[in-house]
Amino acid sequence: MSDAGTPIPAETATDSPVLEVERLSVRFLRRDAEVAAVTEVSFALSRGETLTILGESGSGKSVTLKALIGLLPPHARIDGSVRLAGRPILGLPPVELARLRGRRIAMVFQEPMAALDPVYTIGAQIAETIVRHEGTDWHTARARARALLDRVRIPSAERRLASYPHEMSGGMCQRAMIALALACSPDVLLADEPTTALDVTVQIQLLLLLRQLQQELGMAMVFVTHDVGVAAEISDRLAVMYAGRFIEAGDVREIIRTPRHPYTGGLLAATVRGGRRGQVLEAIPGAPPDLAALPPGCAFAPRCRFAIDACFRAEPPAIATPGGGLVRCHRAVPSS
Amino acid sequence: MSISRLVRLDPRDRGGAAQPLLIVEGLRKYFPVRGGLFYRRIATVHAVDDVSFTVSKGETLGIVGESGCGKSTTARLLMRLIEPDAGEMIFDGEMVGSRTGIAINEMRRQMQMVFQDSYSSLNPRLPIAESIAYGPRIHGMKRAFARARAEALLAQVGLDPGRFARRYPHELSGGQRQRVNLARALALDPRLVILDEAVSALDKSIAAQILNLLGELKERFNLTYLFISHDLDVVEFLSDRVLVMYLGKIVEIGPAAAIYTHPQHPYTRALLASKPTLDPDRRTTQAPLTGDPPNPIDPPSGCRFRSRCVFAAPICAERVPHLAPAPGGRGNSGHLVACHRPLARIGGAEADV
Repeated sequence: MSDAGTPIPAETATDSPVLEVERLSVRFLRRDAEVAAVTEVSFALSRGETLTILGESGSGKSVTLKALIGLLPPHARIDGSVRLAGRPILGLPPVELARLRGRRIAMVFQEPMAALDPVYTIGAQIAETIVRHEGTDWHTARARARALLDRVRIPSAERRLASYPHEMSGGMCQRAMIALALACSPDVLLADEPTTALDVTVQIQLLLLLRQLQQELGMAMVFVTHDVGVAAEISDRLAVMYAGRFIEAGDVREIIRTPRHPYTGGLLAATVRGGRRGQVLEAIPGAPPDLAALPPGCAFAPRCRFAIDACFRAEPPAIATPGGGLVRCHRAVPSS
Repeated sequence: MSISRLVRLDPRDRGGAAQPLLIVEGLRKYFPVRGGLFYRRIATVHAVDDVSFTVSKGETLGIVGESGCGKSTTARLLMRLIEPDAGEMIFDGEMVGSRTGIAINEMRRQMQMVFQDSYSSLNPRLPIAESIAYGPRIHGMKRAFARARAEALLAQVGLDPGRFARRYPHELSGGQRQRVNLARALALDPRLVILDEAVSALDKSIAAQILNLLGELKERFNLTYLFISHDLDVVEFLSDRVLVMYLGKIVEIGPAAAIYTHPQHPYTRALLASKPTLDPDRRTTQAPLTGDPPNPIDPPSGCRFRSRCVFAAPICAERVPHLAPAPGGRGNSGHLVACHRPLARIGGAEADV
């Protein structure tokens, strides 16, 4: 710990947010255009809290996560501020960022097979993280790796330490990746669709595991998914993302029960669930906009049933909802 | 629930409305796993093992199961994209591939398939109208006619031929490409369409559009669907009957309503209970199953689910359970379950799903 450039207080008060994001924007510069992947995203997260970012492909949810942990390519232009336990981390030099990553902020990816190193054993990969960040000897690190595998309920952990990723099933690999991410008890865990590639019976096991570990360790978690059902299982708060913006955010119960943005409502209506056999689904017409050529005004307006002239002219402001959330819509469903 | 739908008169109909469109009997496919010295067979993947079912005219049969359960292999065996090791298929009363029955090519004309990956299943070098016209041309239609038919089909699947006919697959979004794949599947005027995870790769708002389109096309073209998916909600939404697979075997089959409200196989119940609840106040507190689905290489003896089943008894390891009418199912509802200890008999039937 003494090698860190700026000392970080180990324990911050539980009520002060551990992760604060303000007006985060990400632009990708292409030869012919500028792609607005993320636009002015703001949120704050306390320990033990889970924020789920719900969105469809291309909505900017994964880019947001990668911006938080500094994994975007150099040609990405990032604006705004990100503070981890009070300390700004955007634009940190790579060496300092590398010290934070894996220790204070860690990430779990969608494809565990691709994210784990195929030529090292699971045990070696977890132990390396511990040795590197905490300077322990390899023997101690290996013992901790074993305990971590137990913690994520990998059966016969001792044997699994010596396994390579390809020797394990998808669900087991994802558990191993969670163990790797938790190796140094990070303050913030970023999870990018960690259960999407898994079967439904395994998915629910992983969701329950993440929920439990988060409570035990008191981490803050940012969870990205495209699945409303998964979001309902895991989140405290929900942010619905469309064309790079948080178009609705707030308490997960509030949003699922009374969606105020027409897109949120449309997404919930388009999600097939039990007991709708033979009905015609209320599909949202059209397709998401090109992020390199966003329409003026509200990005959802061209697909919106409720759009009026104002929607095509001006970007809707963020309106506070009674439940403490916000919605960006000129025609937001008023509170009842 | 009965599936008594009026089958409109089809000139190709041979057996009448009561004759199932497809009967599959004892379908089996084992894949060898090779390795070691002299590349010997060191293990066997029991991908599809003694699978029998029927598909009635005009119905949608859903197939659900987890990865490795053999649902996609089943689809490929039906299309004869891979050769089965054993098993018979009867298409509208005619034995497939036998000298007196229906030739495989002729069956393929009447049976078409749509795949999950909308991009890799289209030729990237052909404009989409050419891709759609390709099948009819191979089957002897004149180029101009095939082209006109392709454009008409594009309109049917909701793509304006004037704007889209000349485009290449990479110029289309995933939803649009899947519409093209549907049009191509319909180009030969098939009677049975196999949809293998056809909406799984699409965003929810787009998947809903395609699901609605599937409903429309089914009515308009008098189609029968075999709908394969891992998504339990989508299968329930679309299917009249549902077939549940586990490690290459059918564990339960029956009317969708019966399967979803009164599952009899412990696996079916666990699968349904694993769905996220969509209600933050009624979150799942305990995972219905532990561990991952086992590998279909050398599956457990007897009942293949017994290694994860909470109700497993000694008999489950000794004897392979065969499909039999579900206890508690009404008479000839067609609800079958392959389990020595179905839930109705051991008092687990009322458990909530």
